[in-house]
Amino acid sequence: MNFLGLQILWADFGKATAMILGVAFSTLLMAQQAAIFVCLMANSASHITSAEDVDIWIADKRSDYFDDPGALPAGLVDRVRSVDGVAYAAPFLRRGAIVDTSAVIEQAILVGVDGASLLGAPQKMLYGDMTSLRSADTFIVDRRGYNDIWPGEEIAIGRLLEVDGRVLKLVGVADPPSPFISQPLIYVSLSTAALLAGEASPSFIVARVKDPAAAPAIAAAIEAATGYSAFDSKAFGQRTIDYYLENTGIPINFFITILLGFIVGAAIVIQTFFLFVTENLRHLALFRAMGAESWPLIRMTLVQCALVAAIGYCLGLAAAAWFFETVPGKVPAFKGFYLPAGVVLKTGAVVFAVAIFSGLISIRRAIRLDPAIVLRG
Amino acid sequence: MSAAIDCRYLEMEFGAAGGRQTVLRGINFTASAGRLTMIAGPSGCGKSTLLSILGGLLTPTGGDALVFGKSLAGMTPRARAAYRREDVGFIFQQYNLVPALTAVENAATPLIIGGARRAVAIERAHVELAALGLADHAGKFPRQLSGGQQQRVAIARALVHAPRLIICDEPTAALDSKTGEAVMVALSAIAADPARAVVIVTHDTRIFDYAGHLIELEDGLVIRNEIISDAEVAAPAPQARRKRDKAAPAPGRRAAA
Repeated sequence: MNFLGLQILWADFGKATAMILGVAFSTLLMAQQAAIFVCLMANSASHITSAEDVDIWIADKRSDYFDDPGALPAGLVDRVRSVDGVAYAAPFLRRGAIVDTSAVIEQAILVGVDGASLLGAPQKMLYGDMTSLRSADTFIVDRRGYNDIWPGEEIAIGRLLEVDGRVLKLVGVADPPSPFISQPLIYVSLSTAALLAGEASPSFIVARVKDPAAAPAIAAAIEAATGYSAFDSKAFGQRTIDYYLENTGIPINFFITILLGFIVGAAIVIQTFFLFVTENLRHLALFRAMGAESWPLIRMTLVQCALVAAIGYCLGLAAAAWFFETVPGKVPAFKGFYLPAGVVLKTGAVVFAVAIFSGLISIRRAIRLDPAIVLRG
Repeated sequence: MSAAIDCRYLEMEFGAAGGRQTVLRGINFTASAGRLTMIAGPSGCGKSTLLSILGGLLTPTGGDALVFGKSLAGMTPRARAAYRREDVGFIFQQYNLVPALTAVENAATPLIIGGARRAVAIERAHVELAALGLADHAGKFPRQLSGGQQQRVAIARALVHAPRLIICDEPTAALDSKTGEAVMVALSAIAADPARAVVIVTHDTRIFDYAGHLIELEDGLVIRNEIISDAEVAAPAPQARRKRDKAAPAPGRRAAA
């Protein structure tokens, strides 16, 4: 029976193609938008999750998330270091800054790390060495930030940039994960940060613990000992993501786009398949007249749907994969974006559910059909 | 010849109470295997309903029909489907071939529905098509075949699973006289098989010469039930034979019991 169903499906090539393209479009839209959303949310915590040398983040009680830092007292770092289980702790600065080339003035994010430990500094460098930050009046910039500050120019270590009123020398280019806010990341040592105009008090205290498995318990101990919020990296990353999920319009916007992709795709597939089955009702009645029972007809229809869904899903997924394979390398805003396996699987589950649903509601008429109609002309 | 079909007070009503329409009002006849049974009558007399009941497509609301000993009245829907699958071959007025399938795939359909492996079904369908002179057309789609060729594909499809009952709904109505004769010659040969019953519903007076048993219906009742002697049944050159007088049985005919 399945053989008959597939022959009938391919014979109506126009409808089969319309259904496949409908599924492909729906898959592309859902997978691409869902992946961008997931990556964007992950980027909101990228600095936290990529700082592999930091186990615990200590923040002001009023600080809701990573991009909303407070100003902590300088003495707090010693109180953190005194808590059992803490191997090392250092101040960490994160605030807005103004960079000024002769051609452009731009908003940037200033990241100040402890010069001795470099705790919380980016792990991956493209040019130069992070330890160069220990020299006075030096900075490191991220790759995307370099392009923003000096668009179209070759990377030249040693060039100068005015940051918050003080001229600093470029000693390296880092390649950190994309941050949520797309502004240049300027890394300086805390001693250099103290020389700039603007806030120099630590935004966070970052700590490394002796036993990373005990980080949540040690964070609780720090909180109890200092009265400040303390989170292990995983919890602080999740707290940041949750903030964006709960307090911005980003999830609802993406949800609407994904939903539209689902609705448009589902509408195309359901309507086309319904028409396809309706036009083939006479043949289905013929099969019933010849003794075909309901289940083989349902199975035949589901095989048709599953095949359409599989081809459409593969095409849509290939298009989405192509997007994430090519665009992030060319468009800095999409740097580090990828197609997560969870999105691939969940999109597949939705697409196949729609296809099976469309098959079931379409075949319902054929199952109820009186096979005697084949003798009624 | 053994009794293949035994209709006993067969009744059929359609519609809900108040709007009920009686289509068959107690049909009684027996028909033998090895003889071509033709059911005739004006439009609305109940021919197609009778055919649908014999084919297991409808359940009678009264009486019973026994086909090769199987009672159709008491069958469950599942048993009726199995009956249609195993015991009945259908030939339709408009052929009802599936346009998406080739001639051989169309012919193989009953076997595939019956659960046969595709290769086996296709091989068997090739044999049937070859027997009907369509070996060279097996790979063609219905749109590439003439009306007569399509009807022969439909005959191959009706025979491929070796059913005991072949029911034909106006098999020549869409064909010109010459092609219709060719189709009737083929059906007559099939009907000659003593293990098989062939029932044809028709308006087409041109093919009455082929009937071995003529049943005429009117208003849901049998008004004529006539067994025709073998000597009078048309051989492959029916145009040379006189047209039968429908109103008065010709000498040598006997009334059915």
